[in-house]
Amino acid sequence: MNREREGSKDMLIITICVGSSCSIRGSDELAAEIQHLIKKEQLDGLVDIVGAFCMDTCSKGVSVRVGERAFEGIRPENASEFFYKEILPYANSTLLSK
Amino acid sequence: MRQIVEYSWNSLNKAGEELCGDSVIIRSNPDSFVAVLSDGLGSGVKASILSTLTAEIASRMFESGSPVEDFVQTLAETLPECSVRKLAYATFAVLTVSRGKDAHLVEFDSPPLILIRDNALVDLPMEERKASGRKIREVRFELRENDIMILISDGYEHAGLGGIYRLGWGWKNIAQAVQRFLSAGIADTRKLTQSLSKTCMKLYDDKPGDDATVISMKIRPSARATVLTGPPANKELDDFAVSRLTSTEGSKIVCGGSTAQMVARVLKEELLVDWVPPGKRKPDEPKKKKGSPPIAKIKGMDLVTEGILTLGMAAELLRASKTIDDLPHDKDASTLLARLLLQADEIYFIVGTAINPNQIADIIRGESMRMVYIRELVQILSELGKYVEIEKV
Ligand code: FES
Repeated sequence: MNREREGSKDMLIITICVGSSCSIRGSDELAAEIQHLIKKEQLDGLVDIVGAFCMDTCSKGVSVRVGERAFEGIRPENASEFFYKEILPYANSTLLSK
Repeated sequence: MRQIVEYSWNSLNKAGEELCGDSVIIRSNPDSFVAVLSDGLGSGVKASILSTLTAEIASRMFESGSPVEDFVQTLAETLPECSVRKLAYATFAVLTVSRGKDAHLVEFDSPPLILIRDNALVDLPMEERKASGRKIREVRFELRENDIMILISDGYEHAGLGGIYRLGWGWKNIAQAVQRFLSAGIADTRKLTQSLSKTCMKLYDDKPGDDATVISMKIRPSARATVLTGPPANKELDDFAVSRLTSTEGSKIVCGGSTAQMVARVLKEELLVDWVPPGKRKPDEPKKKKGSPPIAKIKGMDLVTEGILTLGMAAELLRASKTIDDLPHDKDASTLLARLLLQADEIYFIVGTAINPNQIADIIRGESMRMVYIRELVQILSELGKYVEIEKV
């Protein structure tokens, strides 16, 4: 398991790969989009974004981990879809349960 | 702790000459060092050929430990005679240092070595004798840490002739200038060489009347760098591999994503990748090139990078650069890695041999791409005169 930063216990950490392949495919752009959505859904302070080395799953998109769950091939243009499908529900369930 | 000779040199050509009549050859290996400064009779092509040959022969013969007599004899037999002056003549000063400590100096008609210890000029007990018909001066002595040695050609002694110095800058004044530079805090040989050659150029009013060469040397502890790259093939050796890194002196470098995670885990430290999400960046933060490999921090480590790509790019940079000054000023992972490696005199690679299951090519090759790059780095660094060791775990 790959934990760059544990954060505080009641924070959900989104780990975005900033390795060479992912950075070319838009780590920064994806991060900016997700950050924007975090604000919009008023999750500031509950969800945080950190960078990570190559996750060994270089693909046509960016590799991302939401908590401990790993995803790959996420493109910046699909940020919103990804956020509402994988981040928001997960954030709600894990954060509420605490 | 091992001692080494740090050095730097510079030649100013006589105004209007394309070739320098002074020749410098320095061979620096981890345990042996030889520096030759030779000044050929006259200036231009003839002088250049005479001094080049002399320096070349001297460096080879002294490095292999031949007696002075043999060397002078070989010179007499090899140097072409000047058709005008019926003379085959080039001065020389040869300094050999073994293990950064035992020095042997032989001079023929050249300005004496300037040796400065604790900011005082040291008077070396030179012995004069004839070797194959030529009057040479010779001495063996022991060097200490922080000793400074300067070799000059007579173009330095004559600088300012008829101007500020009626008889030229002169050996004594030059030795004093060196002491002044040292007490002013000029601590490395590169800066010392720069300061001396700038002064010399000024004394000549920017038009040197003769070829003028300086070699600055300093005895200092050899600097180490240790690179841990790749997790060990056997997971039980993780702790050992990391302890090999933490127990060394000098700069500590980690190259590889999973290696970095392993180090962080063993040391119970956080692995923080140097990346701030775009919205939180300060406006003055330098922009990182897209696709350039990232850097991370682990407490106690001097540099933490990814593996293969960074190593490959660092090798490419090193192939194009001989010294730190040739490196670009970038702050990306591979430039920082190249810089740390160039700063070191001894480099130890601790290479984990685990095969990355995600790299099909590794599996086919039966060896990681990592090893291929490490071998390339070892070759380049050895050619630069560094002591390099690989340890596989
Ligand atoms: S660079 Fe992101 S997974 Fe390899």
